[in-house]
Amino acid sequence: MPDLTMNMESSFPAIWNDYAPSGAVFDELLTTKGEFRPHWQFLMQTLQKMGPQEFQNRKEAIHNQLQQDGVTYMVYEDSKGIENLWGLDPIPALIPSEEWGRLELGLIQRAEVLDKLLMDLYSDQQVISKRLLPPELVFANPGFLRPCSGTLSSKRALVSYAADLVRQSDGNMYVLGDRAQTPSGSGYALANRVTISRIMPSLFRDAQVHRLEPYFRTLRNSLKKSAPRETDDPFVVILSPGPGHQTYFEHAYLANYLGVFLVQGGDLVFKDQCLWFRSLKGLQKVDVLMRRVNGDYCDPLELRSDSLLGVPGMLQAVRSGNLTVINPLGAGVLQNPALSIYLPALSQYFLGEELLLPSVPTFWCGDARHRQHVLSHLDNMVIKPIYPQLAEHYVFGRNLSSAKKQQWIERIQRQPHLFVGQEQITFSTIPFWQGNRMEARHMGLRSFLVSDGRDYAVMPGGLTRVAPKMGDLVVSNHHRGFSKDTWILASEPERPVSLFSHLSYYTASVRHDRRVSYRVADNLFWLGRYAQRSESMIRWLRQVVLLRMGSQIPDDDPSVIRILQAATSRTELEWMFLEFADQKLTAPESGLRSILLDEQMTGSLSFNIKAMTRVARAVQDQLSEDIWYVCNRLNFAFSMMNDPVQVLESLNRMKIAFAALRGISTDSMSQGMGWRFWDIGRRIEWALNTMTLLHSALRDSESLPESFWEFILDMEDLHVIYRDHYSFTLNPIAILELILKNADNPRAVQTQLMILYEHISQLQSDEEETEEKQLILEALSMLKQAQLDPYSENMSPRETFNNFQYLLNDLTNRLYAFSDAITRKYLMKSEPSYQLQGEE
Amino acid sequence: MTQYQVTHQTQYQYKKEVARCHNVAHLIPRNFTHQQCLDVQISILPQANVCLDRLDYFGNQTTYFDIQDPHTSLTVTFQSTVDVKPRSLPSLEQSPNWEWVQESLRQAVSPEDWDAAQFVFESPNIPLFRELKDYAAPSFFPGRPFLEAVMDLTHRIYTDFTFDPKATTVSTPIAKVLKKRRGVCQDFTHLAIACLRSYGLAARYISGYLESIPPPGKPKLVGSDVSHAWFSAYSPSHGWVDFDPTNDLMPNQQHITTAWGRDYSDISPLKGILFGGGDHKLQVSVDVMRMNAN
Repeated sequence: MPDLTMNMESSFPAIWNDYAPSGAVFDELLTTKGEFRPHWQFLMQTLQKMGPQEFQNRKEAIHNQLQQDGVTYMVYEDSKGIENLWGLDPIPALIPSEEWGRLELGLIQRAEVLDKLLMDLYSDQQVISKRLLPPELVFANPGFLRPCSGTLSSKRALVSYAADLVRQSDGNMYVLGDRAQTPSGSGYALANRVTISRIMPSLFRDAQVHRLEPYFRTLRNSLKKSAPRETDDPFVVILSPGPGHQTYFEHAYLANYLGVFLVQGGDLVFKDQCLWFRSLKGLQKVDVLMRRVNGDYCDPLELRSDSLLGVPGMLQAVRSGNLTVINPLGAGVLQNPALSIYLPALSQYFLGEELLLPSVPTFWCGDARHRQHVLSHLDNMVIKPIYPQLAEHYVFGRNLSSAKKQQWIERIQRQPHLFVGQEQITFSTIPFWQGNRMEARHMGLRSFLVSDGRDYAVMPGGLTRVAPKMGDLVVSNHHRGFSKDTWILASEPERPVSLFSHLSYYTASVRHDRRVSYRVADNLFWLGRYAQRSESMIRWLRQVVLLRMGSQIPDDDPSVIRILQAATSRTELEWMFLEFADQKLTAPESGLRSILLDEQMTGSLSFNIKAMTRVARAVQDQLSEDIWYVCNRLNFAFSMMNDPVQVLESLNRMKIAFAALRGISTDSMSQGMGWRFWDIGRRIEWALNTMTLLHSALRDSESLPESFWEFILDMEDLHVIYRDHYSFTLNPIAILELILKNADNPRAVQTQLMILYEHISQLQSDEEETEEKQLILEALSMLKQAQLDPYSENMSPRETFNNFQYLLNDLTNRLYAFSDAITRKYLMKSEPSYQLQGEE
Repeated sequence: MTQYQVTHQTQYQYKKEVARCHNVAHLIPRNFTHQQCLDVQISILPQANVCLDRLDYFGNQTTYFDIQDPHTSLTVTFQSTVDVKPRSLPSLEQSPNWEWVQESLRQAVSPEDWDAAQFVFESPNIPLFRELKDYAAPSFFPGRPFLEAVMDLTHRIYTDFTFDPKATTVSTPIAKVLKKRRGVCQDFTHLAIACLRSYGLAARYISGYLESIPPPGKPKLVGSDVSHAWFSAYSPSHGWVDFDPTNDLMPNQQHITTAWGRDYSDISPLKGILFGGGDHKLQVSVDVMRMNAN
């Protein structure tokens, strides 16, 4: 192959000409002579053919794919959480097979040393009495959780571990930091792989890349095998702080991928020395808990008493041998940059081996000589605390003003043992597509390990992150950096296996009933309600927009007013208070805009869609990919509305998206308990919305033109069914009959009530006489008795309409009462917890 | 040897129903050189679902219990019988100077020294800051015998600070205590420990009871006693030596030790998490009764 040795000048398209890494830094792609490193040659052959447009296309395709899959990362600014789309660059990071082999050995060894250290610290602390580790690093470290002493499994303490690696200018990889508390990022690495292999399938196929699947299989087996007692089907949960957490996407993604349950503290309870999951059908014992909550927050009884994220008694469940927590509570003590100084000695002590993988040179200020070195070389140091929560995670000595520098010197001198100085090294650079050119950006690699109880498996890949700006040395998602898929090149092709085929437990929807918690049921119920509420609004507002676009219809047209009144009945807009048909709408244009777009206004379309997305996110692990896809389409369609010209198109698309959502929920969800609550929410809302519209129409129905009733038929898609039943004359009472109780109309209020009754009958035994059943039966019998004969001449239309008003009121009240009763019985189970005030 | 019967009763009244509660108590006197606990009776009302004893990280007796049924009040009573042995109090002047103690801790050689290292650093209720060292300075002049310096600090806290139960709560930070010069035994103990740790010395928090002696001719009132707190300082030469800054003395047979830790947060007598309940009222009564007097 002659072009394997080509150099940049001769054959690069223009975009690669800009790629000019600084000679002082190691570049992943190019040697100092400007030649491709051998392991990049295959990839570059393909990439070189791509011009700027093609790169941009790939980048956009990736962006769209990530958006569709809902891959997000929360960034906190001014304590306000902003959901950011995950950033992924099209060009992967490559590691050749031989280098990876060496790295793997080094990573496994490091994990083994840390595992033994963790075990030792929580048992007899030999490393301290043998003077292998200064006591300050343990006893002055808030990450050392004394109550956890003696609670770690003797088999394997550190089950999951991640190391942050960086390549120095000498071309070698060094460990920058250890992650043992709740190592995060493996789910993002997986999402990156799924995305890249979809967007660049042939490239990926031909490049001989190691697959990630075996790693996750080990993880899943490890979780199942960790159960404290042997059981065929251990109940494994992932404990998440909740949807507000930075990496919540990953919690839900991993839970789905591994086929385990995503829970929050409030879903669990400690009783009889075991941890239980509170499902709607009773308590279910939890065997293994993988935590994404920091250890000290996991048990407010024995650890941080002000934590609302954990479960009081969790540690006692571990202590009693009824629960395995991964990583064990207390593992955060390993997340200490000063430990790396003592690892070579610890490796000798525990394994009798020389430490293979070096760490970035680190100096612990608790040691007088080290401290001296740090203080006199502050410009070349990154200051870090020995425990993340003690201070800023890192401070670059070089960037400090002289006043700030003085403050830091004093701070270090006051409590030297709490700080380290880490040599500020320059990470390697890698090509990054900047939108119009290739930039050399600094990168770091997070590598993931999991133990199966005996051996560690390293993910053949990892999470490569690139700095947000050229020259920037911080690679972190907090700073809106980008990531790359990480390819470990195999020496020979691996059999392609679908990533999802063996492992994925993605199911159409909610799984075993016993495992639906109150929180999940509550969120699904509200998902149903907000979705239906939004859909009704879209139907109504679309009609209004269509009418106004016809432009023949003035703003004081009673039809428009009625519809807008219905649409605003749950908002603060004053339109709903218009009493007479001859009143004009105030500021119709801006009012309409706020009903659609003002997310601050309770009940606006924007508000409802946001609320719906929020509850959907809170149960993301319970929803199928399809549903999530539709939600994303919906949000995309909604965003089009910012362009006034696109409003109708946006509404049309949303209408279709909602139809799709309904289709998925009725046809492709397993009809379990979770689904039932979704559907209950939806049916309640559906009936309520229909009645709201009628209510608003009937206020002074005589003044309504015929066209209004046509709109109602339009909005409810009832033209066909109306023609079938009532020929072509428009008769308001006939329409009411159709909307309220016609058995052939799947949208009729009566149909919703009957379905609600069926749901309740499924949730409750036949003998139970409950408030919920009673309310629905009453509503149904009211409807049955209602005189709705369009051909009857017993009553004047006025009288008929008045009677309807009463009927609608009665029905509406019963539905609200029904919703309250359901909430009380099934959904409101989270009790606030308090700390008992102690005596002095 | 003196034998005591200690009865410690804690009562909570809740405004609203409590669905369940989980608690951890440090209410059983621990065994050590100077003391042996002979018997404990625990009563919990309403009845606990589970009640378990174990030793905590510091070797203290710890009781876990939970109540899983709704309740509106909780009464926890621990009654223990304890033998307290007399201590021979060391000569303060003949102890090594405090600089030697400080250095010996750094060079720790014995298991006891290692253990003392637990108690040299900041802990949840004891942050270290400059003013503490400033306050302690007059007691720690160069070359002063360690125990003499600690006794002097104890005495100064006793003299400079006013005992005032209204001035502080369990969560008042020591910085505020130092500024207001008021507090209770817990505050004085935290302050003394903080001063010692500011000098790189090891000090631990002790919770327990103090036998109160009625005025001459008056009978002792049942329940008139309270929980007490004092501290212990470590020297490789003398081991742990106790000091009581609230009473300006070195504890002997009138102090009954329940538990020790880095500060109050490690060994609070009774802590818990409850679900529901809202506001609650707390009433504590302690009775220390001398059973014999040999």
